[in-house]
Amino acid sequence: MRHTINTFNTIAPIMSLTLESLAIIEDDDTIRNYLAEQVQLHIDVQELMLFSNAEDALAALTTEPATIVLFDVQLPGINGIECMRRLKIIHPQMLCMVLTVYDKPDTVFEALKAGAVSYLLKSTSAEKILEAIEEVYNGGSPISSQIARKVIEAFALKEKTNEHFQLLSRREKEIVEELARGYRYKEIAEKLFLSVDTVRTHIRNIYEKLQVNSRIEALRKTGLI
Amino acid sequence: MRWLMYALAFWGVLPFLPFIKSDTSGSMMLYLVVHFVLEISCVILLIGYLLWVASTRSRLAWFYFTAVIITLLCSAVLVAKHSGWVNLPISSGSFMGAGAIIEMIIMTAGISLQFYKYKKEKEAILISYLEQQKAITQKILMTEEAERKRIARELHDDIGAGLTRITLMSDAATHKNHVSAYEIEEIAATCRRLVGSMGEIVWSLSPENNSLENLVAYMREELHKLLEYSGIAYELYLPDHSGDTLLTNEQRRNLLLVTKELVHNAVKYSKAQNISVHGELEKDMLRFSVKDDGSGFDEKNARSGNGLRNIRQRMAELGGQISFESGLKKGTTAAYYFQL
Repeated sequence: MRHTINTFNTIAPIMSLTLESLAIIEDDDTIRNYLAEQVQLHIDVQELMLFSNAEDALAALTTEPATIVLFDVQLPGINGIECMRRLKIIHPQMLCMVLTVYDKPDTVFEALKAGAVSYLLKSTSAEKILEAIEEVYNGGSPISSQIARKVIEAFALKEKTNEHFQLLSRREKEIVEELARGYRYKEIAEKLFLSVDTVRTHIRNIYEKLQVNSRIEALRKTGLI
Repeated sequence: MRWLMYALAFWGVLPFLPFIKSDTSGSMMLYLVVHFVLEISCVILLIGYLLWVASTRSRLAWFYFTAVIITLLCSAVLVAKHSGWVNLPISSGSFMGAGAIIEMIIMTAGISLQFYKYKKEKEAILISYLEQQKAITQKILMTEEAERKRIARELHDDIGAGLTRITLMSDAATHKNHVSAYEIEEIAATCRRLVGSMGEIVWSLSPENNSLENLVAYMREELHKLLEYSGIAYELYLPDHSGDTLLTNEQRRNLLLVTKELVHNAVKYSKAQNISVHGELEKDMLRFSVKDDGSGFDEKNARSGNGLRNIRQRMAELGGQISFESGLKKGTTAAYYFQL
């Protein structure tokens, strides 16, 4: 379903990204349509799926996953994070990004534990949203110092509890500690003699470990392990 | 001390108990000696204790004093009777018994009085404790209220001002025949700034962010955002290990905003090629400076307006100082500090 909206600014195509499919789950019509339009203008997507609530998305994506999915957190009915959690269990290779109004660290952290590899403010410019999609596709993940601090806390606890929990490698610990101090990827890469891409990959791995631990914790609570 | 009193009371009564019954003068003599010794030692102990209690000048001392006097009198009478000095028509037994009873009564009275005193003391302590708690609760409520007022003011200043600008810009746009993309971008940019402000306010209110370390990390990120695409070379020297130094919400927010505003001004107006931000913690003084090598400004006719006024006000709120060293074409250094 395509709506025509007066675009506010024209962006020159800045990427050569080809995706098999992309899904957007957002209940606000204006935002959803705007995002859909920007994606279609600048990314070569073979299939673009739009949903205004989590239930519809679950119904469709369970059988047919998308390469990348953008989740709004606030949805009527099941919220975006829960929706993501369920879909990630069935399709772990699906790349999930959350859209939030404010990047409140608690919300973002919950999303990361549930399976997100990227988070965005809804008010981000279209340019940056598309950049973020490309970054996610290429294996990168954004992080802020507050999130990094939460990551450190999360892994600090795990070290003491369950033997199934994944721990951070020494390198990953170094990186996350520098991130918690507010340093940029480039500065950290220089300081630790790594490439920026390596730093990005490490962050992605840290997020995945976080998700695994979160799932183990959930299973432990149900008494299955 | 209480137990000493009980012991003394018992000790004192002991001699009066007829535990030796004999007719022979030998055992009678023994009885007398034992009695005498016990009685004298008791008296000595009592006098000692009495002197101690008397030094506190309490009503208790009088009780003890009376009790001891009676004991002494009884003992004296008994000794006199037995040694034949005085002939009294009373049997030692009943006399001793009476003495014992009177002594017990007085001792008990003394002990009761002590208990009563203790109870009163405890009550007084409890009352003063409750008063203290009440005072503390009052203080907490007042602090919370002051903080709430501060938050409301920040929201009003930041968000209110921004929303007003958007309203006016939108109004202006609707009255034109065609709206330029630039105007709408201005509106969008203001909106984005407001979202950023909200994020900042939420950050500054989160209790887990109250350490200087957290402020430094957040400040580093925010300054990067301001500087990285500015085309200006920049350096950030911020304290990396500030230990456990904690800041209040107000301190965090004001320091962050002042620094951001100074850097923003430098980026926008100074035409500098280099900007550096220094921060230092010296004992309990936080010193910061923002330096640029740009065109400088003259403080008097500056682009002061709201920006500088805001900065000065925020530093004043922190009880700190800010000074500008600038000259046309000499660059600008803004140095500011406050005490924790």
